[in-house]
Amino acid sequence: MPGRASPLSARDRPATRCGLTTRGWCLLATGAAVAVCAVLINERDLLRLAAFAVTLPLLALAVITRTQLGLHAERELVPSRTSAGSACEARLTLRFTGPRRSRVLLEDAVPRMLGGPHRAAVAPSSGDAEVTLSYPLRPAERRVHSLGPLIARVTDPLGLAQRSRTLAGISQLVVLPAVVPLAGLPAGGEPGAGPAANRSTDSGTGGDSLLVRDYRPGDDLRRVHWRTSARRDELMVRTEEWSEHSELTVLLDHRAQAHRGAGPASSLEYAVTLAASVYLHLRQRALRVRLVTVDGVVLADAEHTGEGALDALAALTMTDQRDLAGVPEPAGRCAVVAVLGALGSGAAERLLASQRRGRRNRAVLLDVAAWARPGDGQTAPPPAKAAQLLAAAGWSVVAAGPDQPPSSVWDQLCLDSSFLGSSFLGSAHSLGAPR
Amino acid sequence: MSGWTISALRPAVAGLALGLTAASLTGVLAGVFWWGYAVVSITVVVAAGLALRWLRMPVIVTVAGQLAVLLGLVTTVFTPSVVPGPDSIAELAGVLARAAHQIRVGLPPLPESAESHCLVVLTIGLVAVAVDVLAMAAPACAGLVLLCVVIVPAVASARMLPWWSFALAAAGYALLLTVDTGCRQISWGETVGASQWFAGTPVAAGVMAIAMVVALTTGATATVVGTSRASHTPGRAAIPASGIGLNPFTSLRGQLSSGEAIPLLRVHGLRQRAYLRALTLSRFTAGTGWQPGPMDPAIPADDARTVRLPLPAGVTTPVVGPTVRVQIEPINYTDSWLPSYGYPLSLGGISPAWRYDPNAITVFSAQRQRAQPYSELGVLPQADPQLLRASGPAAGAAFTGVDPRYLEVGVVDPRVRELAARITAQTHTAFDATVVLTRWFTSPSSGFSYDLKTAPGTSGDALVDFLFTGHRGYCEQFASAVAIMLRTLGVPARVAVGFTPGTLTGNSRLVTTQDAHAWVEAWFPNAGWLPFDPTPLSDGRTVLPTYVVTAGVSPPAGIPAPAAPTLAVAPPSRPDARATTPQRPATGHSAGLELTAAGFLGFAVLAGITPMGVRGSRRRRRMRLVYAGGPRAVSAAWEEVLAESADRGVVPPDGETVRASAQRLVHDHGMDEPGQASLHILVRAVERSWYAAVSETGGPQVGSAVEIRGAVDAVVASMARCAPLNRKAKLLPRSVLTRSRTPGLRGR
Repeated sequence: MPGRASPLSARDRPATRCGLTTRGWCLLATGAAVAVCAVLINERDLLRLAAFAVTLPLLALAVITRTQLGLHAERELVPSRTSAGSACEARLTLRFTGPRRSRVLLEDAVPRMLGGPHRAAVAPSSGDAEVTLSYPLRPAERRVHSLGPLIARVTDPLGLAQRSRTLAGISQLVVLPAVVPLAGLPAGGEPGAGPAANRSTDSGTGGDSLLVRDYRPGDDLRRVHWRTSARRDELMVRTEEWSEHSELTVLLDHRAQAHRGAGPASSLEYAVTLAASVYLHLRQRALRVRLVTVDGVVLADAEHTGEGALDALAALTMTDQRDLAGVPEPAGRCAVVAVLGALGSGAAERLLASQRRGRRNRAVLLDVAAWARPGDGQTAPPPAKAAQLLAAAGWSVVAAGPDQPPSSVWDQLCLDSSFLGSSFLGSAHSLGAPR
Repeated sequence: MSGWTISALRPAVAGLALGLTAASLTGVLAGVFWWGYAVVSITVVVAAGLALRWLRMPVIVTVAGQLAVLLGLVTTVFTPSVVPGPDSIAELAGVLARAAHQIRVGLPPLPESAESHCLVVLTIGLVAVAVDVLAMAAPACAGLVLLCVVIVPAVASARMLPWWSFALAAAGYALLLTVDTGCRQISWGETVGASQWFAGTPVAAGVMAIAMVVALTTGATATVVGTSRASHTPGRAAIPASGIGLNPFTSLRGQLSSGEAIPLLRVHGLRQRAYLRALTLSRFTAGTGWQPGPMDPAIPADDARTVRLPLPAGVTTPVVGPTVRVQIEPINYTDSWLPSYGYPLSLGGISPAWRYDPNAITVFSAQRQRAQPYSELGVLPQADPQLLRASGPAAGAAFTGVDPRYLEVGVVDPRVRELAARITAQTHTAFDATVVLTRWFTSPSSGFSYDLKTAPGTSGDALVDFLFTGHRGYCEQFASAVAIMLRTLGVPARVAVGFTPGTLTGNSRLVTTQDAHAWVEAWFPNAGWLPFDPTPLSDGRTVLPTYVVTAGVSPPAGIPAPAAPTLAVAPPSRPDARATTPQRPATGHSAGLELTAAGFLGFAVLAGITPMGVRGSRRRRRMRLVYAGGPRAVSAAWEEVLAESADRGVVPPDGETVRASAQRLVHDHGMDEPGQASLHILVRAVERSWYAAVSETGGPQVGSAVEIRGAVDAVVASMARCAPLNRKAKLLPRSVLTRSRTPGLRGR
């Protein structure tokens, strides 16, 4: 259970630490210094003061070693999986195991991103045997946050010595990426097939749902559907529709080099949201989808649940990998939907080399320069060049910027995008607006 | 507790701590009114700081405002004008200059005057500003400022500060730490349970008290470390370049035994031989020896041109004796005492820093200094033995006119008294007794001899060793012994330290380190302090006064030096270990007092805390049982509830049912709803535990341990809410003190 910090077992419970506080050490050191001065300038008055200053922290230490905390605690996060921006709270269950004579100070090390350390105090000998404290968390960013440890501290009344113990270990709060609902499927799965044309089935070919589209340079001649070509008097090629038997790979680019911006307003978060939404959307349509990152890690395959994929995405951090060498080649007739950050031409060629030509590959190219904050060092290569390369290889390419909702990007992907790709060659920025 | 109250608490307590610490200045300031001025100054500064912070002023503005208010206070009180202006500032500067002059010229303690009060208000106010700023940022660091306040009197005063001033300062600082820690804990975060402010106070008080006792004990016992910086340079008498002085006894032997005669003084115009007195030692402490008494700094020694210096108490004018008019030229003499002959009537050519105490007949200053050549007009007192005899026997009515401190004996070995009484058994007057006792030591039949090496001692008391085993010594031993023996007889006596007349070279006499000497002065009505010398010097340096020569009495021949009861053979490797005994720092006298004080304080703390401690340990023992669960938990819980009730004076009579007792508790303490409900749970658990049948599992089912715990805590909390205990009841819980029958663990 990620959200629940189990009470530390007796064996690995850290020993309580007793020691002087900074104030205690300072007083001790001052006392020692005054004692030396007292001997040097021969003043017994100072020696008396020194004895007081030295004795005080030592006595406080003796008192504090005999003080019991009398307290156990457990932490629970409700809920332990949440999405960025939604409400969440941490519940501390305190169980009192004995009478307490001193005020126990609790400090839960909550990361700054979730609202900073939480502090609470337990008054001496309060009446209840079990108390639940709760405090809100405000997750603003997708990631797996670690809360804790919860440390209890007792100081002596003079604040010279303290005893501290870790009451609860580390809990993990999984903040999932935002998911947007998408509609529709890429038309015919193939660029070039217009919505009207892509359902032109041939009843003569048995049960197979046959889809054809116009021939485009680069298409395999073996896939030319000669009968339709003859009927239409232009070259048509066969396509297959995405069906429940189709396999699809969502490729997520999470190279640090490829993204700009920080926090929730970064291009990486946009890419993660888009990838997550696409993955879940396609899964809902009963397609066989894999979610793969550019370093070859399969975050989720067809057998995973959607939640597993989101958990994996929540934990995703940027990679230092620079090119796209490790992109796994999908097996069989699998096509790729790639969500890509800034892509140099070298990286684009690597990507193309790893993918077989002629598939119904699609790519969303993020115009990451638009996410960049002032002061982000490196300028990103403009997406136009990479788009040109990909389009030339038969990919359909959509550009996306920060002001473009992921659903509209998906809509563009679903549309006929053959000439979208060509217009990409003209101006990268004109692509930002939905058509 | 609001944030403002908390932020106001720290400066207020810091001011209180400073006020308590300022009491240490009693070492350098006379009287008590200055403390009132200090308190006013602190209060004004702290109040100004609070007001400015309440207006949310930045730190700089707050400090500037506090300084302005302080300046206004000083000008209002110590100058005629109210608003500080150029005139009042100039006037203030004048007041401070006079205060500085008083400090430079006078000796601590500084007498009460407008100048000293102004100085107190100003300095303590400035310190208060610093403490106030620190209290807001880092209260623990304010301790360093408080330390500086204590160091000033500690260093300036040659004696140890009184134990209570230390206790006040330490308590103030501990209070500051406690309050600051409390404030921090209160403002830590949301609090579970009733917020108790002073839960840690008993622990803090205990820790502080123990540390204080340790500190006072250290101060009283660690006599290796002295109490004044001045007396710490050992062997400085042997360094002619830096000037040589005459500490009481500390350097006498060093000067006498150094073999080399270093010229100290040159005296012009002395026609008769007389002892040159530097100072007198009036205080005797057993085991420590003779020390200078407190000096009265009231009279400046240099006012002689207009006014005659006063004579010692009890001297009638005209003084019988020759007048001396001498010029004294210090050569290598550097000390805080200025030597003089007889009764000085006027001193010329000395700096204003020298003061004169007519009873001690001592000219002194705060610092050791090399004096300029000076002149003295004085009288060498003489007396007719017949007149001296007329004042009657020792301890008679004639001797009541003297300051009683010259008759203080303290703890003296009874053998010393007995010896003094035996030697003077044949005499009938104080004068005869004095002469006989003095001459007994110088007569060969007594067996005492002059030796710079004293015989090794065994008893731990240098006086007893000298009188009963060693019989060897030099002026210090002889003078010390005779002076205290005279006091045991009832003759006012003291030790004088100074120089023998020195050697005649041309028209002047040269006094060297070899002439350092100590002798006895005894007081007689009308004549005052007359010198007697019991030291058997062999080189003719002794001056035998006429009244001793013409007294016509001699010591009884039949009393030899008393022998040691056992032959004490001490290791010869430490031939003069005892000789240094009287050189111990001059504060041993307060060790006993401080030990007593520390012990008293510790006892008071123990007595005050113990009933509460007993109550606490009983409560913890019961609560441990309760928390442990098991068969005894319920009984322990009920006992604790009854003890809480007994603390509030309600003890259910023996034999009452649990139910009835519970009703009594509810009624008498006026317990509220949650308390009643919890008490009900507890009563049912008790009844089941005591009276229900033992179940199969081995014990009666009495409710879960958690339930009982919760019930006890709720009942106790309810009582605390509805019938709160006052401080006395907390410190002295009635359940402990009245020895009420604690309900035993009743089983079936």
